[in-house]
Amino acid sequence: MKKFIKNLITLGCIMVMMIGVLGGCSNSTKIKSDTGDLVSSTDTSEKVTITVGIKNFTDSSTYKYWPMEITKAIEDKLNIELKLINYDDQKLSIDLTSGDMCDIMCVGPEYIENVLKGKYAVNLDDYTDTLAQNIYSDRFETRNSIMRNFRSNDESKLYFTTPGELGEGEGEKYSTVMYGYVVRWDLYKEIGMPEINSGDDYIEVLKQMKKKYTETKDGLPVYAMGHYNDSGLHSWTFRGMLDLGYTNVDANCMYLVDVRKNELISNVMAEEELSPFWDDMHFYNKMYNEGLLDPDCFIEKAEDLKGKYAKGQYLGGINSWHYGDWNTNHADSDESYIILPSNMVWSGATSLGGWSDKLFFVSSHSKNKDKAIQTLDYFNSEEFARLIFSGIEGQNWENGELMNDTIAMKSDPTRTEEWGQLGLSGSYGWDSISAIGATAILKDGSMASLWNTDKVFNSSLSTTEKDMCSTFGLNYPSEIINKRVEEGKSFDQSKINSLYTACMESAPQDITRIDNNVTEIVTNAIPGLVQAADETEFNTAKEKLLSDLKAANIDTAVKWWMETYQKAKENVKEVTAE
Amino acid sequence: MYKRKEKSSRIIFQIFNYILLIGFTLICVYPFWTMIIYTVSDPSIADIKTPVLFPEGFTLFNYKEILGLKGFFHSLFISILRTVLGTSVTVFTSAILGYLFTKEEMPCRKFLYRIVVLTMYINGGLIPTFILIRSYGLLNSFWVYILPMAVSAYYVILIKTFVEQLPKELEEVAIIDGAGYFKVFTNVIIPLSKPIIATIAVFAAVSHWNSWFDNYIYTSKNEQIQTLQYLLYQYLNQAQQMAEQVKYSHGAISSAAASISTKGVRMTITVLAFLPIFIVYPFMQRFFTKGIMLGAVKG
Amino acid sequence: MAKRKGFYHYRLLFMALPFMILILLFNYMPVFGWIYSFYDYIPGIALKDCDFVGLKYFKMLFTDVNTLRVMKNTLIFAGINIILTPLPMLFAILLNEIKLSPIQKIIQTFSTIPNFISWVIVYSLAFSLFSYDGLVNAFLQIFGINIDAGNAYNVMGDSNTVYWFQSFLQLWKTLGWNAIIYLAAITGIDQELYNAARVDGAGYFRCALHITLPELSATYFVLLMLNIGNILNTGFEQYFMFKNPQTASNIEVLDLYVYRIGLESQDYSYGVAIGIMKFAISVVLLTIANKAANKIRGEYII
Repeated sequence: MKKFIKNLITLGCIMVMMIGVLGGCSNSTKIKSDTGDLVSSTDTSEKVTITVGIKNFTDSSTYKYWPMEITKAIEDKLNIELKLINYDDQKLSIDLTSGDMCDIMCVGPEYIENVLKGKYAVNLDDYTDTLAQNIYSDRFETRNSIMRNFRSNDESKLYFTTPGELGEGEGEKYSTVMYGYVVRWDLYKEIGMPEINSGDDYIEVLKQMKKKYTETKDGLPVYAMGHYNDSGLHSWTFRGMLDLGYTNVDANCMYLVDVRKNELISNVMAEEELSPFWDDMHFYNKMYNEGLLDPDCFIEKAEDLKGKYAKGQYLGGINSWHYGDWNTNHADSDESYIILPSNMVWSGATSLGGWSDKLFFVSSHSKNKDKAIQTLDYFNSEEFARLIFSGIEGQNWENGELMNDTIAMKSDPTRTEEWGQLGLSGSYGWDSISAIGATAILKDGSMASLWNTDKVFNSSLSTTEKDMCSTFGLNYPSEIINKRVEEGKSFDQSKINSLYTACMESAPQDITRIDNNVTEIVTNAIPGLVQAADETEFNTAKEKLLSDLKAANIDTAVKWWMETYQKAKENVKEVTAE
Repeated sequence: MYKRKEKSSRIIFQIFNYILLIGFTLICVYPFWTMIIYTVSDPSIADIKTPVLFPEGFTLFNYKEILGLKGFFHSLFISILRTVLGTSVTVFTSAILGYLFTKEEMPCRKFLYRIVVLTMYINGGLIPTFILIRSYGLLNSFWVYILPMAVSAYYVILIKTFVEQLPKELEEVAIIDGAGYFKVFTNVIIPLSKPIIATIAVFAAVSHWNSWFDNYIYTSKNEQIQTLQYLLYQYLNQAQQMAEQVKYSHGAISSAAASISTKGVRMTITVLAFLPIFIVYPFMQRFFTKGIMLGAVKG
Repeated sequence: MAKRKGFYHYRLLFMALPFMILILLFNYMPVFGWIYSFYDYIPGIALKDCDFVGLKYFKMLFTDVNTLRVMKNTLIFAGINIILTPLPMLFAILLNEIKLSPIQKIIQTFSTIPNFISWVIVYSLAFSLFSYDGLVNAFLQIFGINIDAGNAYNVMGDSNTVYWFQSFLQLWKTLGWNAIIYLAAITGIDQELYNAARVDGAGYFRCALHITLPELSATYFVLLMLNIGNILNTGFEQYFMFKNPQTASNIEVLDLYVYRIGLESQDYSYGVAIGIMKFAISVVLLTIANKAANKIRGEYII
């Protein structure tokens, strides 16, 4: 017993010692921050730290390669130390409460009221000709007038900037087909490459492919496709969106815009011929009854799907998000997945007002306000866009072309380290910071991202892609899109007016509440619809869903969305007419 | 005759008991084992052929990545410090408070005890708590790890219940000898309550070791006192972000991004989270093995 | 002894004072935040500048058509949970009967492992076991039970068994960990009680029945009581992970629902209002249980 007490006393001693150590710790940090303040207030040309807070971002403090060469180029240019901080909603509401936030913040439109009423954003109009010249360049005229008119709490001031602006004729462009009908290339060739122009064609293709490939090498069952159930309705309605020509306005895909007509519809409540949701329900119902659909498709999440793709259990799919591992492991054979274009091809979309869900502002509480404005301005410059998409001039690119060494580095597995340290990797989210999008054409006549040239596209093809290109007579896979568009079989997104959605008000809480509830009801109705044995059963399930939705007040929400979209359209006409 | 019957049924019971408990333990250990072998398997093989008994290929990539995180050893030190200090404080405060609530002569005892119990159900919310912590000047201070968790109702309740079960004689003897409450607490109650103190020490150590939320909300701007769990949380977050980014990234997926698998990171972190219990718990178990003998304490 | 009457007992209060202050500062002061439930609070804007909405959020809770369903689910899960509460105690008693010390220690340590496995991982383990392509179905196939996609059983997508399946997962996760308290309590039992019983000729079973169980009952009832107060706090992580279109209507518990409608749509004030309701219900339940305990056992537990 005495021993036990002795132990206790020893423990006490250790505690006291540790408190001492800690005292040291906290003192030293205090001194650091004090000196930091002193420096900033006396001499602005001294190097300061600028923090940028963004929701769901790769935090620079844990990123392995930070600071990358690109970071250093930015830091040298502005004479700052740059830190990118990851935020989530909880952290954001805490920092909004305390006012102690990053020098530059990026928030979604749902926070505009918090930021402006709390007076957290610097009015950039005070710096038009001094620190913020890039922000006010001609390129951003449209964006700025939208920000001033619809994102300023009716004060007509410029508080926010957005990333990803793409003007007329600068529409998105990719080397491969990103979305459409996924097929295993070897099997598709084996069945004679029948053309796919509709969902029914695709089911036929999958059926034939399954006959050729009934189980994997390890004896696992093979299915046509599965589903990810952790991204709202996306997985269950995306194919229909591509087929009928819509893009989604909200994350749950409940409201869509027709890319050719710029009309908003409610996915579930629209007439059946117009609705991607009902198109897809019939499609998956048919697929289910053919025995093609993975029976786990209602419980899978993205990660499970990824696992099954890696094991080769799927023949098709709707996008490129989950089969990456399989393709990496089969890069040298023609067993990889490729995507064939659908009616609407995911290409050519402009983004006149930038990405409306990311609003950057300079914090009025920033201790280095001038430097922060300068930094945000730099994010709005052509120099920055070229830097983060194409690298350092003279080292990675010159005369508007990428250097061969840089192109080779990207796809060379032995140079992973080097590639990471450079910082061009698309997986670090620089593109959601740059105000100018990848395919924008800069003053030197080339795109911001020099990767988007035929030459580069052609230089980094996998075995399967090469095979596909030679079969179809293409230079690179996504050329098939242009071909189909020319032939009139497909259409791209160049007609969509991105300003309409950019100018929409964000939904008030009672509408959001209805929408959340409705999404839940729709999601839960999917198994019943897909597994319906015949048409009567399908229609019964459909009637039940529609009456449930009516009871959940879906009409109120639909009405709000329709009116808001109309209002946004009129507002845009006013602003652009000015 | 009676004795032998008792003996044979006891043997049957023992066999059954061993099978049951060892079986259950295997169900507990096996998933953990699959996680360990997954984290040391070569990801390119493990994704195709899930390892079942032994690793498929071998790599320490996951662990090297974590050991190579910036500030790993400093935050490990902070975590250990926090765990040792926080556990000591929590155990001491909860033990003494638990003991005091067993004293029936304590004025307002029932009322105070109920106030403590209710803290298990009451919650002011994130933002008000943050505002208070800031007004106490605890923002970005190490003490915000220790003080809010210093008194835990659950531990107080456990101690009180345990102490009430103890035989009263020893305490009475000590009081007759002229010992005050504090002396009775240190000389009689603590030695007798070793099992429950060891238990709450394990509980408190684990919760200190694994908590990152307070670091995230209150002290994320002071890198000097970053804890290991917060560092790991950020690392996991980063892996998720990058996996997410790959979806939208333009053109081909770079090999650097592909090598980070969210599943691998998550499992590695889980293996690390179990480490302290693996170290602390067997050590604490020696306070569990022997039952109390009143005689032994008297001596 | 006489001098210790009266004022001397205030020493006990004095000793408890510092700890009670800590509780006041860190547990009761934040309760001022309950006022947020009467406003449309927007983080970043001073409360006085937010709209006062009175009891709007409390009314919303009662008029919401989903409240009834999620409350039903919560109560079913809590009910099963309470039925299963004796199991950790039983586990501890059985473990105590293992007399081979190393094996006992190994079981004791390793049975706590599941407690450290987060629900995200439990989900992915469960998926690899119980899905159509999972190990369980593969195993059944080996034993000649013919399964194909048509008649394979998928417990993760079955809304009827979801209550028991989830409770079983939870039991697996917490059993070893929760048994620790009872192991400590068993160690605290005076060995002389057993010696005396043995002298009277009691066997092991009778000792367990007449000494161990009654000695553990105090701990059991206290924990049971805390559980009853906790009925509405089921946590949401587990249910969030295992929720899918097929199980959604039965698996959605209150905490998950609050997460879905509150956090996802930034409804800070609604979240606070629900927190207050939960607290009120906890207090009522605790009071009832405490009164009942007093009737049955002749003493208040809390």
